[in-house]
Amino acid sequence: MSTKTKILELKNINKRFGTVQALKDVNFELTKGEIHGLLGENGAGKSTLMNILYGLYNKDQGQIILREKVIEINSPLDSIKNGIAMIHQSATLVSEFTAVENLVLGMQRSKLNLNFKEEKKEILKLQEEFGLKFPLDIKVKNLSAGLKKKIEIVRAIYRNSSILILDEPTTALIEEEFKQLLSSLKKMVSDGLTIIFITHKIKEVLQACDRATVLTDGIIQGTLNTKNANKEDLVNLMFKDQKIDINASAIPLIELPKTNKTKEPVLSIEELTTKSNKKDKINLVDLNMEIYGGEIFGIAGISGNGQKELAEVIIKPDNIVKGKIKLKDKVLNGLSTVEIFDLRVFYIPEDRKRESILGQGDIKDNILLGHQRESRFQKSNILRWDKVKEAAKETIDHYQVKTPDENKEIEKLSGGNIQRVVIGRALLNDLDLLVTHSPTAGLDISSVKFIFEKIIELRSKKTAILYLNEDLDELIEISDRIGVIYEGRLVEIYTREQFNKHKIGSKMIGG
Amino acid sequence: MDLFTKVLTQIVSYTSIYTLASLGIIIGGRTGVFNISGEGIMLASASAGFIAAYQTGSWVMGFFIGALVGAIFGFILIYIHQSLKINQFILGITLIILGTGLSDLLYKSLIGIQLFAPEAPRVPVIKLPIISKIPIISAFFNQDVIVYFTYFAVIITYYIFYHTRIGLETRAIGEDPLAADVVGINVKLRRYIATIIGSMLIGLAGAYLTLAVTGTYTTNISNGRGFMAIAIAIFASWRPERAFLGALIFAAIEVISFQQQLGSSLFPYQFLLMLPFISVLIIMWLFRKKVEFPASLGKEYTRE
Repeated sequence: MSTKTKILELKNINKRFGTVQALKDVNFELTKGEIHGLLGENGAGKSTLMNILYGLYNKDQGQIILREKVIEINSPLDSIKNGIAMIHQSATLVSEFTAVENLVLGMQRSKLNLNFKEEKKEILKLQEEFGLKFPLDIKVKNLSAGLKKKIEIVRAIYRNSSILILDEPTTALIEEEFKQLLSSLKKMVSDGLTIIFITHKIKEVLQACDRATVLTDGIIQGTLNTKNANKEDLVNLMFKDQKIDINASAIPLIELPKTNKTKEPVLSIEELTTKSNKKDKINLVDLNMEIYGGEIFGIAGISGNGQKELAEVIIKPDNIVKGKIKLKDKVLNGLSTVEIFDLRVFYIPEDRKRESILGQGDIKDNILLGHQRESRFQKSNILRWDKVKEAAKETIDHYQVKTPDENKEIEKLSGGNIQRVVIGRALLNDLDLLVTHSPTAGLDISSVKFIFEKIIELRSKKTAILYLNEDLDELIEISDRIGVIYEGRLVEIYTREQFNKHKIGSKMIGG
Repeated sequence: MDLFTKVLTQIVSYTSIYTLASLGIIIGGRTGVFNISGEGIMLASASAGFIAAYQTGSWVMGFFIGALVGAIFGFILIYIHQSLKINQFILGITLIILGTGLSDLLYKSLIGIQLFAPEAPRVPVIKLPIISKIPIISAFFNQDVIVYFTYFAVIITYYIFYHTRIGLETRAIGEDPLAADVVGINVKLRRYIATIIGSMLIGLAGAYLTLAVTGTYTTNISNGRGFMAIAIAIFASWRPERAFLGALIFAAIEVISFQQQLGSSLFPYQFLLMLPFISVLIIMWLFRKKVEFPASLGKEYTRE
């Protein structure tokens, strides 16, 4: 596709959210038939820019020029009509509907009969042509993230889109799935599709894209041709002011110093089997593992294979039908969360905004959370706010939280700063065990590095760390050992010398 | 007509009240708008519909005004919710209070207090030929126009929800407004339309109380039926055909307990008055694990 016609141009796009300038005079050009990477850190404004193009956000200023004509886009319908499709980071499919229902949804064909016979034929043809197989008549909620991604791509093609925006498409995919997807996408490009590929991973840009535009803090840093560029060029554009060594997956390079593990395991789980009556919960099956003090034990797996359940059963051991959870020599089965926290255990949940914090509380309140029974913060049930305030101030100081003071509503802080408070709270006391689920998700590179450092510091103090994460690159970087969880079973455990992305990746999908 | 058929005929007539009201709640709910203000709408419509029919001498006018009042309430609900971002439930409670107050205010200021309660023209009963001669089934077809409209409303809503594109899109909004938005469905507009149409049906249910059931207006004529309609919508898992079934059950309980009050003295009448509400609790408890909700029910949707 060497016909270098400009298909799309964004001119001087400006967007402000409250007091934050999310995009500043952004200019962006797209050539027909290319895969164009939009590279930048979390929070750089990539998704904001593309959501403006897709009509989900309104721009404050600027122009969108499609095929040399200025167009107005005020809603997704406008962009669909102009042949633009967007696939968001997390699936925007109706989970109670089947794949076919989702594909047909919103199509402007007048229809009084929802049998979808002809639609199914067309969809099957597209599946065949691009090698994107998924079941048509099963409710989407029962399908994996990878299959959902395929449905959304077929949906874009089914609508005859000419421009496809992919927002961090690899988030929930393993390496193999991504490669498969990439070959389908390349075939679509050769059929005339143009793709915008949003990512924060340099490696993916080099792997998938023809050109790449780098965005940092809402400002365009430049566009590179990836054929003549290497990792360093992109790193320089992406982090020109920051002195951070990162690897090609945009994860800060760290050194895992040699430490001596404790002789006895801190956490041991023996043949743990759980049974929950809640429909959407995964049951753990015959799970065995031991974590020693001074060790970071990573749990790899595709989201929804029992990670959350594993984390939660340790801090709230109920629904256990078989097996034991032991902290040192103490059996945890049947204890309450309060009792377990008293045993020098703390938990950092996955969903930062909903599970980790009281959004409308201030930093003080959030520091206190989980420590409210400790004698230093209360005397016969009356809270000692002066002590809480002290602890909050120390945390802000020590964890470099960017905030005017400890009375700031925590919701108003950025993700990175919220997580610093959350980590500070977790490490307020010395710990024997820290359970943490995706602590770096969606954070900027300097926050990620900071969190890594804190966790490694904790490791050197002989704390056992259970590190659950869907990002395998990150786990490989920080873990001493990695266990792979699949459908509630721990199917394999690898030591650091054995780490191999492909091997672990294939175990993650049950291989 | 034997007693059984007579009671059944009355049950079917009462079913209409519950069906229309819960259908109205279901239609809004399927786009994610949980309209809990049914009791207020029904009271206001019962009063306004009565006054309109009484003044003009036309029951058609009465139902028209009843539906219009419903539409206005629906509009207030959705407008304030969408534009000013006020929680749906707070608005619902406000509208219940507004409707309750408005019903007596309208009646007292426009009709006044009279020695004999004035009567409005009632909606006529139409016996369908042949079919109204079959035993039992006849009870369903020896009814007034609004009951026939109710049958039609249930069937057409069911058909639209499960056999048309518009229905698929409506259900999609109720499940996941973002997913609907990204495929180009105008979520805001659809929520307006569904809430207003739904509220009109609730308004019809209100007008039905004065223009079919009693023919006169009394304070608090709805007597909690607007709340029962919510229970029916939930029991029905927000499906129109099940709402009809639920309405039939509740209407039966109400009419039978009413008949008992007239007849025997086996139970104190206070107990019988309580019976419909107790049955709601029991039925909700029995079906607690089976009910399903539209996932976005009661939640606000904004893009940014």
